[in-house]
Amino acid sequence: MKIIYALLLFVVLGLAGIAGFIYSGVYPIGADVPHNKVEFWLLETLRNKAIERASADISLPSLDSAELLLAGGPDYNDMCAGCHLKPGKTQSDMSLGLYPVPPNLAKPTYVNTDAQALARRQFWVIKHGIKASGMPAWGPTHDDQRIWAMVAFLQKLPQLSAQEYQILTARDFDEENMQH
Amino acid sequence: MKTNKVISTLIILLSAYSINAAAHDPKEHAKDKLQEAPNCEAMKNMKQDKVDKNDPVVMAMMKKCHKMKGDKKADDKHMDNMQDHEMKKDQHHEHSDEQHDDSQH
Repeated sequence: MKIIYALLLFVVLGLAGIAGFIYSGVYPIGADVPHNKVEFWLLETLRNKAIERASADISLPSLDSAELLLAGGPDYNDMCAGCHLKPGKTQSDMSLGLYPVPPNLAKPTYVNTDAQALARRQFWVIKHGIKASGMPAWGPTHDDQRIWAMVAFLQKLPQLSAQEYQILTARDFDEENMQH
Repeated sequence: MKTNKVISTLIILLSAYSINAAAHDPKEHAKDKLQEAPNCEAMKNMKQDKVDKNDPVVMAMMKKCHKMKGDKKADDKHMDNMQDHEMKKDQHHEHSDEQHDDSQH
C-alpha cells in the first residue's frame, strides 16, 4: 500500500512540476533557440510516426507523366520554393528563419528511402500540413489531383538543373488542364 | 418557409466555398509576381546525346517549349493579320476618298 501512495505522490509531484514549468513562462519559445536533444527526439519521432501511420493506406497514382510535371512545377515554385528551395539556391529568408528548418527538397537526401512510401508521405504532408512547424495544409484550398501533381514534381526535383527547373516551373496562364 | 431557409443557407455556404476555391486558382498567382517566360533557349545547349526523349522531364520541357513556340507563332500571325487588316482598311479609305472626290467633280 505504501508503494502505491509513493507512486501516486510521485505522479502528482511530476504533474505539478510540469504545470509549474508551463505556467512559469521560462521555456525558450523563440524559433532561434534550437530544441535540446530530448525535445528534438520526441518531436521528430512523434512527427515521423504520425505521418507514417496516416499515409500508409493512401493509394498511389502513376506519377511518371509530363502533364503532372507541368501542372505541379509552377505550383511548387509559387507555394513551396520559398521555404523548400530550388536548384541553384541553398538558402532563403524562410529556410534560415523557420524552426524546425524546412527540408531542402531540391537536394537528393532521400536516396535509400522507399520511393512509394515517400510519395505517399509527401502527399499527406502537403494536404494536411504539420502542426507548429510552419508547414500549412494545402488540402482545404487545393484538390487531390493538384497535390499529386506537386508530388510528381517533387520526385524529379532533386535531379533537375536550374535551367530545367526554370522551364518546368514557368507558369502558363492558359493552363486549362488544371482544374479545381 | 423552412425549405426556403434551408435552400438559402445552402446557397450561401456553397458561394462561400466557391469564393474560397477561386482565391487559389492558378491565375491568382499571376497577380503576385511578374510572368516569367520559360527560357527555352537553354534547351538548345543541353547535350542532345544525353537527352532521353522518353523521360517525363524532357517530354514536359519539349511540350512547354513547343507550346510557347506555337503561341508565339499564333501571336505573330495575329499581328500580321491585324497589320494586313489595317493596311486594307487604309487602302479602302483612300480608294473611297478618291471615288468621293471623283463623284463631286
